[in-house]
Amino acid sequence: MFTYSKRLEDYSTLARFLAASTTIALLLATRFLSRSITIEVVRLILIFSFELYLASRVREARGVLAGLKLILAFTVIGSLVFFLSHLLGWLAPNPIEVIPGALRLVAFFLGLSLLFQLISLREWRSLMNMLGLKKQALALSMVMSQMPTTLYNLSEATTTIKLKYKGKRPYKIVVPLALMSFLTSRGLAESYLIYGAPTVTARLTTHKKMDAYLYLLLAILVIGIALIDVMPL
Amino acid sequence: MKDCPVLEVVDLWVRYPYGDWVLRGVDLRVCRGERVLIIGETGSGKTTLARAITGLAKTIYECDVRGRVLLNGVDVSEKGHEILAQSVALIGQNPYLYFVEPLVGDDIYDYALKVYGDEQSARNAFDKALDSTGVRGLTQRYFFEISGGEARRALVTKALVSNPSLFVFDEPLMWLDDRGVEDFVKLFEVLKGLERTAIIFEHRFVPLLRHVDKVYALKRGKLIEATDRALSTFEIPSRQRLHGSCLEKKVNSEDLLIEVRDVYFKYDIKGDYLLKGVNMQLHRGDAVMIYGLNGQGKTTLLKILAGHLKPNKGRVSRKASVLYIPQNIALFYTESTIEKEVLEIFKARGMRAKVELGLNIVRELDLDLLSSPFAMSYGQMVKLAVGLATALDVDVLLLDEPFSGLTYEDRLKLLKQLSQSKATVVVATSNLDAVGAPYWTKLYKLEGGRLVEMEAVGTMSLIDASRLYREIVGVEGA
Repeated sequence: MFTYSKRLEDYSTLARFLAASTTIALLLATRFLSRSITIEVVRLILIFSFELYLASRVREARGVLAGLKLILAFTVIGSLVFFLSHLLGWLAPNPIEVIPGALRLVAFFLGLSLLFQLISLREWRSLMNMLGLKKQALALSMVMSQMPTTLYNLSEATTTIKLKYKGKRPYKIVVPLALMSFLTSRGLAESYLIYGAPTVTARLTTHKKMDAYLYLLLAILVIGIALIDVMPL
Repeated sequence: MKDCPVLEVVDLWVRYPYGDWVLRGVDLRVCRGERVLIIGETGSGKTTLARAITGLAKTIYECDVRGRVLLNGVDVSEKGHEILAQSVALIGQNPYLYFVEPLVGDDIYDYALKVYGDEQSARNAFDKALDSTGVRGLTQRYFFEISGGEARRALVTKALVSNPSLFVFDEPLMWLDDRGVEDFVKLFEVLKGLERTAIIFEHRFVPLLRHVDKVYALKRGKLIEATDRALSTFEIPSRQRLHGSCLEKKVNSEDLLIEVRDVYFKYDIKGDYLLKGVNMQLHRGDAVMIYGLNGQGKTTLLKILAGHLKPNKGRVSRKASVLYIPQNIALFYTESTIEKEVLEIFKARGMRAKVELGLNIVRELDLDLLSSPFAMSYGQMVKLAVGLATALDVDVLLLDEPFSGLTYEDRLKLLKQLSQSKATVVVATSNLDAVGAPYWTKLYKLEGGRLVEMEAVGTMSLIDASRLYREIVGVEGA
């Protein structure tokens, strides 16, 4: 979910960056600008649908949903706890308020993953170098390059620790994973000393023919979100 | 051998901060075009020597390094990292650490651009390296989706870009399946054709013996060159079928622990099935080996047996307690000391009263109860996990590639340990080395999603390999 796909290279860097970052900005804006929960939920659904559309352009739509399973599971568990707290009379927000919160969380993670699916690491490096963030660009490259291995280790550790402690101490997976991260970081340092740190950047493009289509979709999304306020909801 | 030497190591001593000397006066001379194999036990200092040769021991690990390492006549400690990096190529145990860009082609090209500075020269070097190793087909693939063997080929290609004087391979056969080993040997022959100098550190050394010029053993911090007499032992047929039986296990065919019926599984909803109609029965006392090349679904099948993954179709019935030992054995351990490790696992499984059994296992393995489990060697980690499983009365023990990080000697010891375990054992492996051992009650092959029973095939004898190792290293007795 966090790996760059070349499928949208017909669009400029700027257009892709705007598409991914606008969804995150809109998610934050709806939190403060919506005058009712219904309006907020409708807005979030619009944003989420737009994200799903973008994600399905770079990956198989079902694959995207499969990737969201973990986030959805956490969201469902969190929501259940809130509902239960409410039933038991403990301090808890209004259950209805949980719905936009849960939706926003899922949409936020999808938006975040889009930033890396639509923008390549080279483009990120160029962008961050332009902003004088060279060290941070290197750190980002290191983290992203090891993301798939880290996820694989997470899956292995989960199976192992679950069976070892008969499902009783799931938090213990943190220890071997932390150790693996330490070993990996040392291995990466070795690799960068031998082969050099990544320095190659990409040419950032500001316009391409296809951009108009993406901007049109973005405009429809923004206008739609704005117009909801004047609808009788 | 012309222009000798490319590498000269003189009286090299290395120790880690606060540690004892790992290398104690190593001397080595490697001439241009020569290929040298260095074998040794886990923890004998192979990786440390590789780090010293590549200049990483001091820089990354802050080691105390005494003596001299001369690369093309220049001391590596005097070379700047940029220069050193272009003179010596390190292909480490985990090749996936050496890629930054997701696409293999982008990564190699970026490195070429970094080395040469201009696009034309970079493109020429990129094409030349790709043609030498034949990895053009990998350029549009993500590095984390290619096999271990392919990743090493891609990494050697990346290294070739800067035209280094010396290639250093640290345990290149680790985690490779049989096909990966064959690919590596072919790649090694390509380097020979290119007259490249190479040093290989490897404990699974038999497949490489015929492809190197010299063999050394690292023992007690020093290098010993293998004698011709020792190497001539290798003339013993390397693949054979073992006869007789060392089975100490009794299979109770009445007691069915796990039954897998017509199981289909796939990760990607739209993708092909990884497992197709798999059937399997595990009885108490069974010792089962599942052989298959990497990517055939062995780990997935183990996770289905463990109940961690649910099949898309078919049924799995289970009336057994299961323990899973992963390929990356470090993921098994969670505590700061071995003693706490034993206490926690017995407590969590409701067997606090029997904790002494676990502590006895630790003592039998001659391990320090107060040391960190992560300080153990790979072999010790596997042996302790298997030992604990025995003490815990686990019904089914699932092991994913337990042999990959072990010496031949340790593989034999592990097989013996497994044969003495009361648990039903299922081992998934991608190399045939242990298939020839007369230990298994059932042998399966997993290929194309199908699990089929397999005949015991002729394989390299672990006993012969261990004997050869002892001959080279000069260890007495079995």
